[in-house]
Amino acid sequence: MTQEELAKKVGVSRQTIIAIEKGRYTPSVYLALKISKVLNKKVEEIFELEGL
Amino acid sequence: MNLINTMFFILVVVFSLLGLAVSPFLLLGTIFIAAVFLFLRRGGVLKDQDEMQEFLDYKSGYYSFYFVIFVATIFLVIKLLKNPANVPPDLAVIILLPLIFKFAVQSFEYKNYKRAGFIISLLPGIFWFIFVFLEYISQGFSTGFFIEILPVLLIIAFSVLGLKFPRFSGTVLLLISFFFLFILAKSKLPAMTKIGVSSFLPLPLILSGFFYIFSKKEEVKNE
Repeated sequence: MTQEELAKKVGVSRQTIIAIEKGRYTPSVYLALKISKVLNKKVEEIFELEGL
Repeated sequence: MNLINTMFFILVVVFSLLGLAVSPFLLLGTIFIAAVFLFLRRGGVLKDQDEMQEFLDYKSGYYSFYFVIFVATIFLVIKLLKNPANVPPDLAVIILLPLIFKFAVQSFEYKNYKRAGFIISLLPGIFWFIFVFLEYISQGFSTGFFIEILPVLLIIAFSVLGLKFPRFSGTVLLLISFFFLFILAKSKLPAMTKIGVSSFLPLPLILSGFFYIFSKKEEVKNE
């Protein structure tokens, strides 16, 4: 799945997906859950806490 | 910022500059349209931003807010150093009004109306108290001091009472603020000075009055 496709499916811009991937933006719980649903994975498989 | 937003932003800046050069009404119209656009967006009518764009919008707005206040403060300090007795009312408005408004909006969003009412009315009350106290400390505490300090003490008293009786205090604070507004409207002060004085006292009291009146019973009981 491309960044553009993912962005469309979760209803955000491609720039937002890029920012999340690069760690420049932390998504809300709502967006994180939407991404995990679209990618068919658990949230903790996609996102992880840093420094813990 | 997407292309349409960028174009809109550039147009607002261009038309604002044109307004400065050509007509103040063009400037007013441009800012009005920009404000309508902003309210439509924040009100959820216009859904052209995702959450990151919204976050960046808030963040940049926050920095711009303090930057403008910082610049206005520098100009104010320069003017005061040149002429300590003359406070420029336009600069005082630019500094004071956004700070009061920001605090009011923040308290409103936080939904702690009672606390907001207390702080918003207490701060100008204390500020005015210190102002009158310092004015009379050099010349001795005459009858004039007690006459001038009385309304200040009333404001402070109703501000504190509002914690226990919010609706009653809120109503009294509103009445006091309307009284001040009436006196201001009747005075022959320049318009900008009137706005400056309003933003210092009647406006906070109006906000405080409404906050106290609309504070919920549960909120009052829990604190």
